[in-house]
Amino acid sequence: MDNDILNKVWNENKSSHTIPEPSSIIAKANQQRRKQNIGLIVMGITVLILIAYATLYLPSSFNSFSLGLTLMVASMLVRIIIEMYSKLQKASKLASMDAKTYKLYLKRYYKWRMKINYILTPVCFAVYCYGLYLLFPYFKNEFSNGFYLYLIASAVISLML
Amino acid sequence: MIHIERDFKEIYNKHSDKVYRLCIGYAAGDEDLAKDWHQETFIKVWNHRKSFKGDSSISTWIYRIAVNTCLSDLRTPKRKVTTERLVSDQTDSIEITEDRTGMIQKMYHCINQLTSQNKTLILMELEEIPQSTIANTAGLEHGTLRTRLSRIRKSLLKCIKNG
Repeated sequence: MDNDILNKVWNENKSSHTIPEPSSIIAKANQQRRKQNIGLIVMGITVLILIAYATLYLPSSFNSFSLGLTLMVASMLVRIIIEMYSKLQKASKLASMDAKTYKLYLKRYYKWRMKINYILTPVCFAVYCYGLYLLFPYFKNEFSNGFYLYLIASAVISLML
Repeated sequence: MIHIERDFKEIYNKHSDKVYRLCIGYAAGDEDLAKDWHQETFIKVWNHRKSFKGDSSISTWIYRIAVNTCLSDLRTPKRKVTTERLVSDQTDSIEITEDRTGMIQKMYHCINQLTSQNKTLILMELEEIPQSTIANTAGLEHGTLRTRLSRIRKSLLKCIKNG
């Protein structure tokens, strides 16, 4: 009898609500997938260009400028790849695990995210900053004093933000 | 491709209402949030359709995705604040009104006080989803589920009656 009360109250809630058409869900899903694919293609091309550049030029003229660039690009790439891997893993687990197992997975996932945020990200950031620092002497030689100061100021401001 | 889309539309039309109501239960009555989760669930169903191997029924698979989508999003701090705000709004409304809407709001409030797993169980039960599907979605033994459901129903009734 009491059980009926709960169902009765809950069924009062079966009001009309507008839900999207399935075709609009498919369109949205395909649009998201296209955007992800474009992002991956752009990143893939960037990585290929960097590898080509490194293979052709770095062995003959490796200096602190090349090292600085390599550190900056590598630190960014590591961070992006880990971020993407982490998100893809989470999405695939969501569709394959029951709620109990997924909840346990989420606990591990958020611990892992904490490690990424508090250990890996500062390390990547430090490596990136060091790479940038190595470039400054070259900027000083190549550019005017005013533009050099502007580069330093904009680098500091953008890193702080 | 056309027949894949046709299959999806069939699945969508069959499960959409129950998934929406499951989501609105998780969202403590917040329709916008429920619509977001509902949409997100079916986007995932579409994206992961190739990974469905038929180990469980298609309904179980869809409810798992729905429950995990809500569960996952509720863990973000932004969502927690929203839910807490809703609960406090509803508590005020319970004191003012005892009409139909008030009762439903009260029910949302009481459901919202349950643990995330218990929320899943009672919301699916209220939607009259078979207990075998609920057990598979939640990852529980059938016997454990029955005991748990009876306990949740009692505490929910007590909460609704006493406020």
